[in-house]
Amino acid sequence: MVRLLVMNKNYFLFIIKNAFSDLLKNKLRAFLTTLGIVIGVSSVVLLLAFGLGLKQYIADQFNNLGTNLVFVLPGQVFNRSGGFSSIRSSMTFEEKDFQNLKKAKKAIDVVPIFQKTTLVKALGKEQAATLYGTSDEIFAVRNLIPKYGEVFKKTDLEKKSKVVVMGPEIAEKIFDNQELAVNQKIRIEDQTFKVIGVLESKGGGGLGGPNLDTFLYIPYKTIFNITGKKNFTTFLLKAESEKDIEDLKKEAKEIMLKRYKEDDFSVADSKEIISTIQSIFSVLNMVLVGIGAVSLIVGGVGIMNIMYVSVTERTREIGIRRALGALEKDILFQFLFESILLSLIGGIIGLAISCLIVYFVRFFFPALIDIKSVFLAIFVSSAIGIFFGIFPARKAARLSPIEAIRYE
Amino acid sequence: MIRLKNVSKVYQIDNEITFYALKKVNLEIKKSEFVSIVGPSGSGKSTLMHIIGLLDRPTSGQVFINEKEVSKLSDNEISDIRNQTVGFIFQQFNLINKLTALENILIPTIYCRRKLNFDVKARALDLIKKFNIAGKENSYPNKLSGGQQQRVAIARALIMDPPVILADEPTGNLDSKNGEIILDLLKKLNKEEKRTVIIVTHDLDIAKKTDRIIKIKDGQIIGYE
Ligand SMILES: Nc1ncnc2c1ncn2[C@@H]1O[C@H](COP(=O)(O)OP(=O)(O)OP(=O)(O)O)[C@@H](O)[C@H]1O
Ligand SMILES: [Mg+2]
Repeated sequence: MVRLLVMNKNYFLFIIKNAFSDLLKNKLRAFLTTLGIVIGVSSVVLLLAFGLGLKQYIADQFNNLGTNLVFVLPGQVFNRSGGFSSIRSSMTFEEKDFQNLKKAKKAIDVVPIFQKTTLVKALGKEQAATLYGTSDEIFAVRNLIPKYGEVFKKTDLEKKSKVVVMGPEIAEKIFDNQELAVNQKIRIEDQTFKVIGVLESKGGGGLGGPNLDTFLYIPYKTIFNITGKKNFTTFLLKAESEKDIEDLKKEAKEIMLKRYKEDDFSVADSKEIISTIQSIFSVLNMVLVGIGAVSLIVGGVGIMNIMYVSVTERTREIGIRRALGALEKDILFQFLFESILLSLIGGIIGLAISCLIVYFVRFFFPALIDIKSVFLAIFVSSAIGIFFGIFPARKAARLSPIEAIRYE
Repeated sequence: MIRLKNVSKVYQIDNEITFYALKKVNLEIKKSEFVSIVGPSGSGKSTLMHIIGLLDRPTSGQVFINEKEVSKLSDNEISDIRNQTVGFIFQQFNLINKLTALENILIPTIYCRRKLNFDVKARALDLIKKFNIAGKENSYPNKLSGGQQQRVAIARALIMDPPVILADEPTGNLDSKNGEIILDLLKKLNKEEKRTVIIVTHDLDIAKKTDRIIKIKDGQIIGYE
């Protein structure tokens, strides 16, 4: 004979009311028991919040530096396990590649880059800096806006003008004042350049992305003229929209394959690069979340312990209920519900504390609690209530009615 | 109504001594009978009562209720009989202290799985009134006198309208005046409501008020009166 657990509407109400009144009767004990869950849930939620905030921050940083971009880079950028390759290729691209890539139908802009570390001299100071030999389109593609002065134009590129646009950080370092840097002369590669502009800060760097604030932007034809070499280290291709990115990558790859072997270059989009950087942080974050999860287990054991105590204390009550017609299932459910409630309350308090902490931390750090973290907290704390509550609840259910009712 | 056939209850003590709390008891109690079970302390009265009330299972032998053998039923089915067929009244009242009088009376209705054709709360309040404990419905057991507690326990035993009432020394923890009130109540349940009422007692004066006395000693029935 299969019987439903519930056939009257008062049943659930009764179970819920009972569980609450039992917990409230022992407020201090309930609070202390649930503390482990509170700490566990808040540490997991907080670590997830920091991880998520960090991911968002990295993505924002990249998107801030232009969207829908495809990069053509020498060598293998990604290794087989999805991280960045540690081997830097010394290979470079040539003018012909630039011309070929320009023919890509899905590319609305192709920006060549020659990157080089160099020494800058000005006002008797010497400073190491990254040189970016590029075309005037870089400023539009990368969302770079002049703060003082202006950026170089196509005519500067064609005339091979010795002009330089500085990132705010390097300008500050050399001239102590960004505004005063404009129209100053600096020496790069033993040539005298005129500073025509200083860019708005883009922030970033440090989290795997490039720090564009420390770069010196110079027309690439000027560099070629000085060094006599005509090499590029990167091409930046801009697609019209996000849906064109895959096609553009394919196109770029086909073009490059005409002159290079597959292993000699990489075609990547910003999303791939973002997610690779993010995944590095994710691993770190998961380790920390795992450590947080340990305190959840400790909290669960605490609940199990207190539920066993509760079963013993209420042995007589169990006997009375059984004598009045309660099934084993009813007793099981009563105790299970109580441990779930205990754990869930801990989870909700933990979640509330995390929200509060995140609210304040957001002034300094981009932490983020999303709906998934909320569900995770609720799901995990209920699951812990069930898992650690089932053993004491089963013990309660299996007590013999007559022995339970005689228990003193 | 209730029939016991060769019922024995054996306790194993220290793996060596086997102790017979009940020894091959044969007993029949008819519908609407008012019976008492008497005997010295330790004679097996409570054990017998627990087996009749399906709180305990016999080690051997059979128990029939309405000619249906119940000793082999599943735990769920036995729980149903406890819920609806038998109302148990204990010497120690066995109320749940954290629940009010009314909530205690309503416990059996919570565990009832069939649809009830009466308003449980109205019935509980009726019983409270009938048993002269009106106004105490929201009191907790520790705020009630022993006699009041036992009347709450009887109301609880009656809430599901069971045909059988089992009372194990219902007056044992009460003074003589309160004991008399409870006994009159039980008598009414038999005479007016035609329920089968079985009480355990070692007080012969009480036993004499019942229709039939079953005498038990050392786990065996030694006679009727
Ligand atoms: N769980 C048990 N283990 C061992 N012996 C038990 C157990 N339960 C009861 N007994 C024994 O069985 C015998 C009968 O017990 P029971 O409670 O039925 O006596 P009783 O007639 O109700 O006595 P009283 O009048 O004192 O209530 C007693 O000797 C008791 O010690
Ligand atoms: Mg007894």
